[in-house]
Order: sequence, then structure tokens, then C-alpha cells
Amino acid sequence: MSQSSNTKADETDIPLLDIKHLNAGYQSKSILKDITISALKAGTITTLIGPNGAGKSTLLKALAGLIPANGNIQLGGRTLTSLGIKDRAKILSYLPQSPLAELDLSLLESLLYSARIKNEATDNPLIMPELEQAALQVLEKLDLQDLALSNLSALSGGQRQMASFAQAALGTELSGTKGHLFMLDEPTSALDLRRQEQLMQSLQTLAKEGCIIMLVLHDLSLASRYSDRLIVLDKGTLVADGSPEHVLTPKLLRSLYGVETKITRSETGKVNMTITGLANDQTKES
Amino acid sequence: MNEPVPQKGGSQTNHSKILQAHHQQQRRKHILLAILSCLAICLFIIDIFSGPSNLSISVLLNGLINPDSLTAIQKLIIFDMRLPAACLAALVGACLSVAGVEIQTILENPLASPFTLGISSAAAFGASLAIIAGLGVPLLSSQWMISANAFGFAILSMALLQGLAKLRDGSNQTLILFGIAMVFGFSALLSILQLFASAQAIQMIVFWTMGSVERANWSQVALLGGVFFLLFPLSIRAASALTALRFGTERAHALGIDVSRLRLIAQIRISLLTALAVALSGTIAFVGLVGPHLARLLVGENHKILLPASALSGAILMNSASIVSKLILPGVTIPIGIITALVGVPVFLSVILAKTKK
Repeated sequence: MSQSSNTKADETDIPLLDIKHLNAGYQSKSILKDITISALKAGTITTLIGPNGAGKSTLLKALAGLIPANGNIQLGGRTLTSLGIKDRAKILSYLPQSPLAELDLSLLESLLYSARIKNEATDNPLIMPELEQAALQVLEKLDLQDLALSNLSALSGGQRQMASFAQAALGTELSGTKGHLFMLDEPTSALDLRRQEQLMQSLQTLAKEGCIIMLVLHDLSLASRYSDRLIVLDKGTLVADGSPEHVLTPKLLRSLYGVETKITRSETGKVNMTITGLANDQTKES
Repeated sequence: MNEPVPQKGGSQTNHSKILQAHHQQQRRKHILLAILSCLAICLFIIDIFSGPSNLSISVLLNGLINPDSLTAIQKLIIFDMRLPAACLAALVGACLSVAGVEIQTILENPLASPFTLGISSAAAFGASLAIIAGLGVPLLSSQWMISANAFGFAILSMALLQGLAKLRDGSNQTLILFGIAMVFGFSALLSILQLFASAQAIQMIVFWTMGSVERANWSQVALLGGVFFLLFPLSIRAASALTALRFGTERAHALGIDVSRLRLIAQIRISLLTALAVALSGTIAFVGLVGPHLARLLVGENHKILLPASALSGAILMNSASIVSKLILPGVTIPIGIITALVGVPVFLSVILAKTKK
């Protein structure tokens, strides 16, 4: 306590996610090896990138408590690994990659259901009319009002992915956004361009309200436009960590994905990336 | 109920419009539930009316309200035979159907039924063991011996299954695979028993496995009714969590639900309901699969409504089957288990076809 007091002054109010020496995996096979990610700040968007099988989803699952994990994970001063399921749900939300099932449940109903359960886990539960209003506001923000009364089974894959996001976003808002960790696993994989922008912008809003946002994306241009920080994983280890401008280099992309890219920077410093072809095998090996 | 009141902003009006339509949707489901209840009551009463002895409807109605108007024989028929049989039919239907919904939800598998995990096979084996061994036990009522043994084996098989699944990852796949192994294992054991049993015992075993509520008595009704009305409120209390589980294990977990605990407790409920229903009435096919599907098609996935709807559709199916079983051949009551499948299949198919057309 006393040792850290001098550094505390400038960071007192910003809740953090700190991951130290995280090892995680499934029963027989360990996937993440000694991952250390320090100080993910509230109000920022961090994107995990890396090739298939790099361990991105595993990292989110480990933090969500879905798979066993070793290591020291601190969120807002609390040790995540020692929390029960309900206490974890209070301080973090997780949107899995698996699509929402085609259920005979209207979008609004499904939102209210998940909200009611998430709400039970919060310290200041809302009553039903307030929940209904909150749900409708989320639907309005995401331009989903027209689908509110449609059954999930009648929605398209992309619409259901948006519905799934609406569920998770509502849960995040109900939990109080300040310092809340919101993790999303490939939330835009089935969305059209407009929906992708809508989703990312609503993540920006949540970040502004004080959320710590951590997501997995494969679309690097989307990632570089919206992320404050990129974390690159490959084969279960952390390869790079920093701002998109620093992280995205032709060399890294070649070794990660085996593709040749041309990267230019706009006047505002944003990264523009063009893929020019496959790298030949030797460069990927080395 | 009220006209939408135009409020300040356009979005506010829009909100209240959506909410109103949403509440109407919910109300419609509650009305459907009420209709199902009425139907269940009607079929229950018709079940009491139907049967081989020529009792007129007026005599029966009168007798139900004022028992003293009946002769001793009429009283015996109504209160000691028809009424307990109709009650047991309805209860068995409700138990199996509720167990069916829960097992489909927790295994995330629409093809699952209470019999998928081998409960009924274990019960049939237990019952057969009692039939063969129990023929020589004079002091105990053989009917209770059979039921107790069937129940014991059913519960034992579930405990065994849980233990085995725990040894591996305890996933749904594992559970279903081990359950199927249980079904085949106990069926094989049953065949061995039949190989060495007397002709009389085999006849009893065959009759038992067909399932029947004909020889119901009040203590059976009280026992099954007691267990059902004890467990059903617990299912309703878990309804929100069960609905959330339909979003997927990971989503439910992220919402703060202890999924493995929810699964385990639901499985205990399912085992008790199924084991007892099977122990008292034999293996009645199809209700545990069709009841839940009918209810799902009618009211959707909201388990707060789905669970009661399923209990009702199970009861409706069983009482209808019981009526048909008494009417098909005059003077002969066909075991109800045969009828549930015969009636259930066309009803099931027609509902599914009607739904897909829409």
C-alpha cells in the first residue's frame, strides 16, 4: 500500500484492468502462456488481434471465468479469479462469439430477460417499467426498434448478432458503466458496414461513460480506427502491445498472417492498410 | 389497455407504442394459458365420464356434487376407480411434460425427453425384478413393491450417470452419450430377466412396460401429486435462469447464473418427477417429448409461461389418451402408453405442419 502511494496520485480515479502472468487453457491443453497486460484504462477501447487459434477468445473466456485460469488479474482493485460467478457478473460483461439461438422469444423479451437477470446481480436493481425503458432506449440507439417485437427466430444472422450485442450493452449499462469491463468476441463478424459502424460507435459511447472495453476483431482497419490500443497475440503469447500506429507494421503483419501489406498514414495519424498479396512461405517461417 | 398517449418527443410515442404491443403479446400468451387450463379441465371431466359401465352424464355430474345421490357401486366406480385414474393420468402427463421441458433446456437439445438418459429403462428393469422376485412375497402389496423397486433403480441410474459424467468433463454430450449407454444397458438386463422369467411374469412385465393408469388408487395420486406440487414451484422459481440458458451457456454464465448448479438441480427435479411417474404408471411413451413441443409451439420460450403450459399440455395429452383407450374397443381398456404414441404422433405432426405453413 505505502509503496504504491506515490504513483497513486495521478491515477486514483481511473479504474484499471491489470493482468499478470496469466496462464489459461482447456483441460488437456494450455493455450495462453504467461500473458501480462498492464493498465487497461477505463474510457479506452482495446482490441485483441492475431491469427486464428492465437488465443484471443481464450483470453476473454479466462477473464469471464468460463475456463480455469492462473495468474493475477485485478479489475478495479479486486482480484478477479477469487470472485464468484455473480460477483464477476457485477463488474464485467461478456459477449461470446457463438451466435444467439433462433428462439421463439421476441427481441424485446430476450432483452428484458437478460436484463432482469443481470439486474438481480447489481446493487441497485431497477423495477420493471424502468427496465423496459432502458431496453427501449438501447434498441433506439442501435436502430433496432422496428425489430423489437419480432421473434429471434425470424431475424437474420446479422440482426441476431446485433440483438446479442444489444443484450450485452444493456447489461453493461445496468451494471453502471464506470470501471465496468465489457468484453466482446468478434461482435461485428456478421454485420453489414452500417451496423459495424453503429456497433463501434456505441462502444465508443460506452467507453466515454467509463467502461473498459476489450474486444476481438479480425478487421484490422476497423480495429485501427476505433482502438486506443492493440494487443497482438500469436500462438498463445503476447507479441505486441501499443497504439495502432505503433503496432501495425508490414513486418508484424507478414509474420502474423503471412500477407504483404502497404501501410500509409493519413494526416490525422490514422493507419490505412492495403493488402498486396500473400507473403512467400519462407518469410512467414522466419 | 389505454390509447397511446402522444408525448413530448416522437421517440417517446414510439416507445409507448412498442411497449403496448409488447404487453399485448404477453397478454395473448396468458390467454392461451387460460385456454389450455380450460381444455385440461374439460378433458379431465370427460375422462371421468368415459368408461365401460353405463353411467349417464347427469348421474355423474350429480354424483360429483352430491355423492349421497349415488348407489354404493356407482360411488365405487366414480370415486375409487375413475377419479383416481383421471387424476393419475393428468399428473403423470404433467410430471413427464415438465421434466421434458427442463431436460430439453438444460441439455440444449430439442430431441431430449425424460427417457433419453435411461430413467425409464432403469425403472422398467427395477419393476421387472420386483415382478419376478415379488411374485413370492405375500406380505407386501406387490403393486407397491414394483413401484418402489422401479423408483429405486431409476434414481440409482441417475446417480450413476451423474458420477460417470463427472469423471469426464460433465458436458451435455457426455451426459447424453452415457445416458444412451444406460438405455441399452438396462434394456439388455431386462431381456436377460425375461429370458428366465415365467410366462406369467413376462405377461406382467410387458403390461407394465406399456404403461397404464387403470389401477390407480388415491395413495398413488397423493404421492405423485405431492411431489409434483412440491417441485413445480421450484421449477417456476428457476424459470428466468432456464430461459436465460436458452441464450447459450456462455451468455447465461456471463449474466451471473451458476450454470452447472442450475443443471444439476434441474436434473434432480427431472429424475424425481420422471422416476416417480414411471414407477406408478409404467413407461408411458411420447408425452415427455410431445407435451413440451406443443407448449413451445403455442407460447414460445419464456419458461415462466412455458412450464405451466407444458404441464397442462401433458395433462391434456394423457387425459385424451385415457379417453381414447377406453373408447376404442368396447369393454377393453387398452394400455394408455400405446395410445399416447398413437394419438401423440398425428397431433404432433399436424401441429408442426400447421406451424411451418404459417
